[in-house]
Amino acid sequence: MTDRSFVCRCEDVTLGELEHARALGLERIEEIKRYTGLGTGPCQGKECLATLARWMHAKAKAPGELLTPFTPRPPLEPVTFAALASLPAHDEADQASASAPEEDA
Amino acid sequence: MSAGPKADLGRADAPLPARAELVIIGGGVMGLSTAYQVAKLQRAAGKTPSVVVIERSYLVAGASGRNGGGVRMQWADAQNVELMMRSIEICRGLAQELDINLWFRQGGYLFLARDEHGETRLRRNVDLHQSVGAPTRLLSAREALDIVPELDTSAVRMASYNPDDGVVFPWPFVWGYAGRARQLGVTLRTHTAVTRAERLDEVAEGYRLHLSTGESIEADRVLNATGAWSIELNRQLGIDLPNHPHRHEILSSEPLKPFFDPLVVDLSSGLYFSQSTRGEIVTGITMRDPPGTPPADRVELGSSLKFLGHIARHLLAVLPIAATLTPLRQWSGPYDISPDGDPIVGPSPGHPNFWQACGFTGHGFMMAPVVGELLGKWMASDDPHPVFERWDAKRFAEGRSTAREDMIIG
Amino acid sequence: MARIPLRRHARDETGQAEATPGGRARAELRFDGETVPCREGESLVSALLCAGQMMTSRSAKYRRARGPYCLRGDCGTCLVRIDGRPNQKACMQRARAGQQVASQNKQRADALDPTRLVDAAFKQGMDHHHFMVKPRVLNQVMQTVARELTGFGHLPDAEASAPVGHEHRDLDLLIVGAGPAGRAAAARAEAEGITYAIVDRRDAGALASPGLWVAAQRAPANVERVGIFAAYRDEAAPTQATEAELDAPHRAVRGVWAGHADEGPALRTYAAKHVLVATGARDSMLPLPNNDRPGVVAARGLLELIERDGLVCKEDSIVVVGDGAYAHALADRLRAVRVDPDDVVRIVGRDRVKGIETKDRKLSCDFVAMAGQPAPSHELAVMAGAQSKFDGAGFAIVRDDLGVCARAGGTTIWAAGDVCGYMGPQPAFEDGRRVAETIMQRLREASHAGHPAQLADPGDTQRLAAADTNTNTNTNTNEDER
Repeated sequence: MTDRSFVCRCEDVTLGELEHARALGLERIEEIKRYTGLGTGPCQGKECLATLARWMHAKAKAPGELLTPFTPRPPLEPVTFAALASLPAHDEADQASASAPEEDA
Repeated sequence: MSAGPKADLGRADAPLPARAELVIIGGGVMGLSTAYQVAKLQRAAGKTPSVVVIERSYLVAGASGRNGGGVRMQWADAQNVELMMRSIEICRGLAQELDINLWFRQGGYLFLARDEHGETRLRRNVDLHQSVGAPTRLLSAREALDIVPELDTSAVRMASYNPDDGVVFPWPFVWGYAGRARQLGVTLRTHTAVTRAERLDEVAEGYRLHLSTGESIEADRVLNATGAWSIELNRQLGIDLPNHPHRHEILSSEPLKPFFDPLVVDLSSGLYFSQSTRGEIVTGITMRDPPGTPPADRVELGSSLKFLGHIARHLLAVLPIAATLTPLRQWSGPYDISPDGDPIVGPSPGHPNFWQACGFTGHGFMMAPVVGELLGKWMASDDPHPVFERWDAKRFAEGRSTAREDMIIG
Repeated sequence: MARIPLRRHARDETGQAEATPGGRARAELRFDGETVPCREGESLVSALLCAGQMMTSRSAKYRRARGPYCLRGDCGTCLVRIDGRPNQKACMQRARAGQQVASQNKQRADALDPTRLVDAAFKQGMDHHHFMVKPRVLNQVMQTVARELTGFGHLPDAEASAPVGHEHRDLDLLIVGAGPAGRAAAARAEAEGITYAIVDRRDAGALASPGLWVAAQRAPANVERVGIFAAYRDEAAPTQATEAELDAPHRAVRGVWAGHADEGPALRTYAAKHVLVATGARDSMLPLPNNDRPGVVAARGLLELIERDGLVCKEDSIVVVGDGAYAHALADRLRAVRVDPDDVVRIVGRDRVKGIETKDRKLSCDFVAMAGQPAPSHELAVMAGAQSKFDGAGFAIVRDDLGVCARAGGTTIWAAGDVCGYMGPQPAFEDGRRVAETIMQRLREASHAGHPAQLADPGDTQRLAAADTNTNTNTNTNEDER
């Protein structure tokens, strides 16, 4: 077993991988997230975003304006497709065909 | 960290020349693919590229980072089919060419038709595809079920399937093109917006672009590759093109072990779903605007509850096993809609040195490999492919635009 | 059989079922085919840990063993398959008789799993962007294998079903979070007699654990178990196309807040004049060597689990790392050793924690309990349009003196408690009460304004003015304390 220090355990992102991203010139949380995969797994950053920010602040001496959380998006808690399908359908447009007009053959 | 090639993803402080032969505004896949091709051709001809790409945010912030990663040749128009056949061929070797994993998986695209109208379209498509050598075939509902056993095909009349279509992970395309473009000498400046474009007089020629950093750069020629964001810059120069942004929502599910291979499309609803390399079901659907909604002129992102309800209902109708599954994240990205469904590429009306690469109507990503190749060739070697006549930016004003493509999904 | 690090309370061992917390009946469930004794209604993760089942999956890339960490619904590594449904958080589920629980993304017999070699093979790390790119044939094989190794759960069993149904409520006040701040606000709302709801994603058992809060206030009886998953724009209103930056936070026009419930209608939506976000803070990861081992847990989560389910730790089975708020509480409660993160050399153990090496000694243990300063659970407030500021621990919600953090057309969004920066349970309780006081005032003012026949009498006006002064002079936003 290899010694590794994890920042994001969902996607196996280690301190080494963060250093690598920094060496590529990635400074913002949004781009570090994308390149390393940090925060894109099942917990969507709940465990690791704060850890990343602390590391950037301490090790990379990131100034405050670079420390903004990546965009939080729904759903923050699990909700099934079956439950979502229970939402009222808005109007008949929901059932309308989505195809563009067909050209003449 | 294991040694990999030194990737370079651009910098917010990349030094800019005072003037460049070509400035590409927009560091999305289209701009970067073109930059790469131009530089590649110039290097091959013994020239040092004078190409600058300016991206207003981080790479993959725009549509290139938000799409579902579908790559298909199943179109209704022969030109589009042939172009995408070439694009897919490029994709097969692109990871090796760009030296980065692209996760391109040719699991096929499966289109499902539920009504006579859809059936007619699929039959028409298959005839066309086979006539140009694309391996698309018609399937019965039963045969569709063989390919994806979890489908509910009870309301499906007919399907079409092409095994060479596939899915990719979009982000590394952009990083890969960026890295190779940088190696070839392209300047890549990120986190910098073009705030104002100014046409220079006949003596100086070209354009001066004013940047959000307070700097400015001059260009002999400019390529506006900002796609859905192109309207404002174009209007500043009096270029009035009819493309407009339209928000499209999408979601990815909790990660699952792989259980289906193709990207599946329901023609009636515009629903599409596929499984990413990480096992997430990536899915989107067409959402009509309320009647009378005017076209937007600004990009709007963000997500709605209405989308979740709508897509859940349609997804469960085709993939009932998804009932107990959950979306993990929803987001959106802009389609850059062209009114006739064809992209808008080439010199702008009234501005022969201000070029466009926009209006890709939701399939710009999959076209970028081939379009970059062709556009790069046109810009570097003055050798335009015939398709550019059809995609001419001047066609609208000159009344030459015709709607030819109806296989627009999502 | 592996060493058991946790047991249920000693009284349990004599078989007195009635003496167990909440009188929970003994039962059995199965984990990976093995029988696991449990108590009906305890947390599933308690049952697993008490049976020595520390590992729930292998990780995506390095194929390392993973197990429960945060123990309260935030991280992603206690995911198990339950009764045919994949990717369920064991820490958020209750143990039930006859449950069929299974680990994910691992072979049943670990010793026969060849993918365990990946971790040893890639000592310098694996750059997945540049790994096995050439030649093409190798690249395709790699992609095919990678596809099989990632993903987590398998497709649900066909028989698995999910609750359905939708309920919408219009409220004066929606309180999200039934921790100290939320409870204080709910008490105030109850006394005022307004239309309100208080929701929390945790169940009653979890809400009953006092944690650090010695003078624990009971959770209100009307807390509904709803996981609020988003704050949305109301689709009936025309969309505003103002885009200051590429990805402006989603500013709700007239907010619709959506949640998922396990009982009753599954999909809940709320529209409210006021929403109080009291989502608290969470323990985030400390990056230390091998901090991913099963047995590495969050200190607060472990403390709450022990209290909730009446668990007892073996002597010396826990080492606490860090000096966040819960470090001392856990160390004191369990007489555990506490270690500074800077002194940690590595956590030891292969498929579960066996010990921890510090600069001057080696300790053997079953749990390493991390205790950094809690990081605010900022996501919901930011989604609703609030600003956040890095506060040294995480992203704290920025609010004005009264507690307003965002406005969305007709809805005012407030924040109170740890989500504004960790303050501790008693200060959070008082903060919740203070902010609620202003919300009540606003509702009263709006109600008076809307009903001219019921304009406040002079006595009312004086009382309102006094309350206003009170609020302003007692401003305590805690911003100076960071």
